[in-house]
Amino acid sequence: MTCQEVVEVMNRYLDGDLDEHERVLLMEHLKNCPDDQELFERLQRLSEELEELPKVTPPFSLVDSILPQLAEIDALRDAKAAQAAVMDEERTQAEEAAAAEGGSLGSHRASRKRTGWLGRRTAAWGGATAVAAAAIILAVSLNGPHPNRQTAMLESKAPAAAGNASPYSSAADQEAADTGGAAMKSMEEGTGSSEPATSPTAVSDGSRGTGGGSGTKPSTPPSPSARVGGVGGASQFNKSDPNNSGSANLGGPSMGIAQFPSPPASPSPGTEQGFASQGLAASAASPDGKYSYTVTGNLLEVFESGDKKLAELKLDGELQGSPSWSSDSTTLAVEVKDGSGAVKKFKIAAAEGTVEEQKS
Amino acid sequence: MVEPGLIRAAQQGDRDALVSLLREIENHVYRTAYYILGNEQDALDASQEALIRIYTKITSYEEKAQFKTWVQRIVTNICIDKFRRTKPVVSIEEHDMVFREKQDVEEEVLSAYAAKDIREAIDKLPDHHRAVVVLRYLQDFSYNEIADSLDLPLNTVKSYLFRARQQLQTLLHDYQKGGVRG
Repeated sequence: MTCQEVVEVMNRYLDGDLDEHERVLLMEHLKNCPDDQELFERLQRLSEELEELPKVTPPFSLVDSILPQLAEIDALRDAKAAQAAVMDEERTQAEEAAAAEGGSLGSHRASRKRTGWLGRRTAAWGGATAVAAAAIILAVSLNGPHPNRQTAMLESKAPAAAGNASPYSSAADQEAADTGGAAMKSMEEGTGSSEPATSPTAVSDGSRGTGGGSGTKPSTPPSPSARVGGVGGASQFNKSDPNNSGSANLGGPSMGIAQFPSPPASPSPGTEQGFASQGLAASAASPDGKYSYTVTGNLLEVFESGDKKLAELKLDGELQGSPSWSSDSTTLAVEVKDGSGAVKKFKIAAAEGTVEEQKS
Repeated sequence: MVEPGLIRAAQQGDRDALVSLLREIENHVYRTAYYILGNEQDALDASQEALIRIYTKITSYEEKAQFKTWVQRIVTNICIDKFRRTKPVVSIEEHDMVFREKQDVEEEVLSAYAAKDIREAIDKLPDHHRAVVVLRYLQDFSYNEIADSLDLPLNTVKSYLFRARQQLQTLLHDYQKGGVRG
């Protein structure tokens, strides 16, 4: 063995890495080499010293000291999971059913405010919530301007503080109206009943994780009945047939996105289109499902396929009824009553992205 | 040795199991941090961070690795990456020959090196050499376990360990000369 090899073998000896043969060779070498013998003894002594280094322990329990941080991590993790669930819900447009789940509401909201776009949106809505009564309530009509709209407005049972009345059909039964009022009241209180009221023909789908569609994207329900995912402070509907008495489709109060799926266009007597308005934002798809609009605060925006913005209109006053799509889906008619009481009519051409005021 | 059942329970979301598991390893974590960092305060901070990381990353542990090497990898990484201040270390190479110097007979009969001197000498080693020594002597790890923990090739582990011994030998020799004869 060369001296360099011997050094390695000595080290491996210290680590218990030699087989019997190697160990014999090492011992023989050391017998004949005093220098290496001395080195070997020094290394052995060093190794023993190292092995005897005190097995220090922390002066206090480290785990106890980090328990609060671990709890925070758990809370954050739970919140993230909740947020993921919420986002998932929103995709399927049933988010606000979660709000009806009482105890979980706080953490859901907290988590949503914490991060990301969802949090920002929530914050934006929060401001509007302060004037939740000023719900912008939109009605969607399949067939353009609703003949009964004005009557419906007048008969609205929505609290005056709502700013925007909740229009519903003059033929709406009293029960629906009462429920609407209750829903509005609940919304003002920031809590809500979890009991979505349903009309005989409208499907109110308030359960978590399900809903009528996704975001502002149009969905096509299997029947003309609207599915209400986001439960709103007040609900209303427009009938496609003025001669038919409709009933309101009411969701539980909360502040999700209301969705107004557009049923396949083939109105017939008895067909009604209900939807929920959540008071802060509203949206509706065009009859062919290609376009949709949303109203957030005083901004009305028109989208294609739910996310591509085509046009926007700043609303200098109260919406009169709800913007309505032309039957060929190309234009959206919007009526706004300004401070002087004058009603301005706008026509938004979706494909062109143009906004034109209609002079009467 | 941590019970595999406890690890699995912790990975499946049993928080109590996870906390119990941390309690079982906290001394090992601290010991490594203490000897790599060379002082109690940094060791406490690094150990707490390591335990928190283990808490959050427990699901990423895979059974193909030994749990103890996975834990030591986490704590050594934290110590070396985040806590180790830039300290002057002696080049390993320049002491190669000194190491083989003939020693005075006097020194051979001196009592054991003070533990304090050894700790100071360890503190002067380059980071990875020091980590290898710590895992070998404070955790009783084999070459392979050290290699797994530090993500180093086996031969590199041996090389670091052998050179670290040479270095320590030399440093302690210097201390002894300084303390006893200087």
